[in-house]
Amino acid sequence: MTESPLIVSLTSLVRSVAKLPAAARIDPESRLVEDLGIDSLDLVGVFVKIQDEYDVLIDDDDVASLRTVEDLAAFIGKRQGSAAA
Amino acid sequence: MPDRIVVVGHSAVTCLGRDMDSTWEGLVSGRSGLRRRESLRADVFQQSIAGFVDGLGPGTDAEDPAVSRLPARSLHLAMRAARDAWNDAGLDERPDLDRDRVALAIGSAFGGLDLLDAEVARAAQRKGLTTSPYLVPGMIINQSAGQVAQHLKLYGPSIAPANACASGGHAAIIAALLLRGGEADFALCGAAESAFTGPIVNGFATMKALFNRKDDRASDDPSQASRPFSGDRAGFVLSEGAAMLVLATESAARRLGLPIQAELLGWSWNSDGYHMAMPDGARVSKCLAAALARSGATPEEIDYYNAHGTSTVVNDKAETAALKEVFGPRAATLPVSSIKGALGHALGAASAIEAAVCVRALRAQAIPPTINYRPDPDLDLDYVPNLSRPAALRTVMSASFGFGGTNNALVFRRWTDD
Repeated sequence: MTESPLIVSLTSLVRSVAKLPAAARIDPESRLVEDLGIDSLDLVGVFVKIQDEYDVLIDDDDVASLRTVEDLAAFIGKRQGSAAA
Repeated sequence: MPDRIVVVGHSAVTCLGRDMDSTWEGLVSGRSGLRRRESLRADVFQQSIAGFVDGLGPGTDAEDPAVSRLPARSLHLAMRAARDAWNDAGLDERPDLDRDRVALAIGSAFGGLDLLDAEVARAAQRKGLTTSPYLVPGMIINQSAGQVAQHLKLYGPSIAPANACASGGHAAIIAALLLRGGEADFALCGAAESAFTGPIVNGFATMKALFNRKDDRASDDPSQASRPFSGDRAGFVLSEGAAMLVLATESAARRLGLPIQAELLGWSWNSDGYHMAMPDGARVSKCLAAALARSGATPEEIDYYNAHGTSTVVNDKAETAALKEVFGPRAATLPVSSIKGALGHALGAASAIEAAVCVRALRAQAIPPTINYRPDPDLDLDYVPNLSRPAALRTVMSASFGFGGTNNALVFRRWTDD
């Protein structure tokens, strides 16, 4: 299956911020904390980087639902979609 | 008699070289590490002549992945200097080293202000009030010691002296006191600095502490901007860097069979209690005199004085006067040099770099020169002008004085095993 450009760039962002090794497998459905072992500080680092790169606001209320790369992509799509609307 | 405090490793990362060897080679060759830097844009910085450590630090090919989350340049320079000094001491792979008995004293005047600068700019573009989670851990001054402890696996006490331009010398004194007090057997000590943010550079310029003269010999050749003790000196040139010493008690060094590079024979530190930024000559003199007394050395026994020598009108005059007062007749023949002519002023790191250079000078039996020197009729000591000098060095002194009126002097002695 070909992943969307957004999923590909988010995967790369997560790998870069959390300093995950190049060999570490990151699937769209990988859970950031439970599967990838990202600690709480790096998790916030990922959210802040997403805010900078995608010009979206991630509130504390949003955080609980952002558990996978897929979740992040859906969140960004929705926010950017609503901004455009 | 208390255990002697010895140096078993030293390092420097400077604008003349990314390691101690290239820094020393640049110094004794009379080269300058100062250039005009295009990255210091005229719409942000009042001065673009500076000393950068090229090709090292966050975002470069030589970035240390261990600290890549914390892109404060001072922290990266500290890591490099710490790894180098630790290697130089041969303590890398020593299973017989008790790592709970290794102290850290790594200082800085400003810490990770560059990180703050970058984060403020990013946050201004961001929706909401979010701040990077790496800002706070990255900019606190003790994080260099924290990261060095984490990655070199050192578990003794750690402290981060923030004593402006005296930070590195203070770190060595604190380390020596920890060793002498029985708190540790080894101590990794020094300082790191990179404070190139607009407000800091411009703040020094506004204070008239920074070289900022037009129509000057530095206009065509920026490497001549820093000219300690010269008649036309006109302020310091800001640089970045880091340096470390590995100190040990003599007994600990012998127990591990480590080659001893020099002895930290004595030291002194005091406060001016006088002014936020101007030195008090009387207290500077007292500091130098106390270092002599506590080392048990006479003025005649000091073979080289490594000056604070910032290239400001005020410092170089006050320091010269203090040397005359403390050294008496010996001042006329005492070789005095300031390596800030070549390296600029790396603020908190400067005195750590100067301490490391003193250790290297004792080993090389050579004095690095004061480059860019042109005589000042009012300052008449032997400033080792422009050319390095071979010399029989047994005992050397290095002093530094920081804003806030904080002074130190270190006395190192050549080590001979007999």
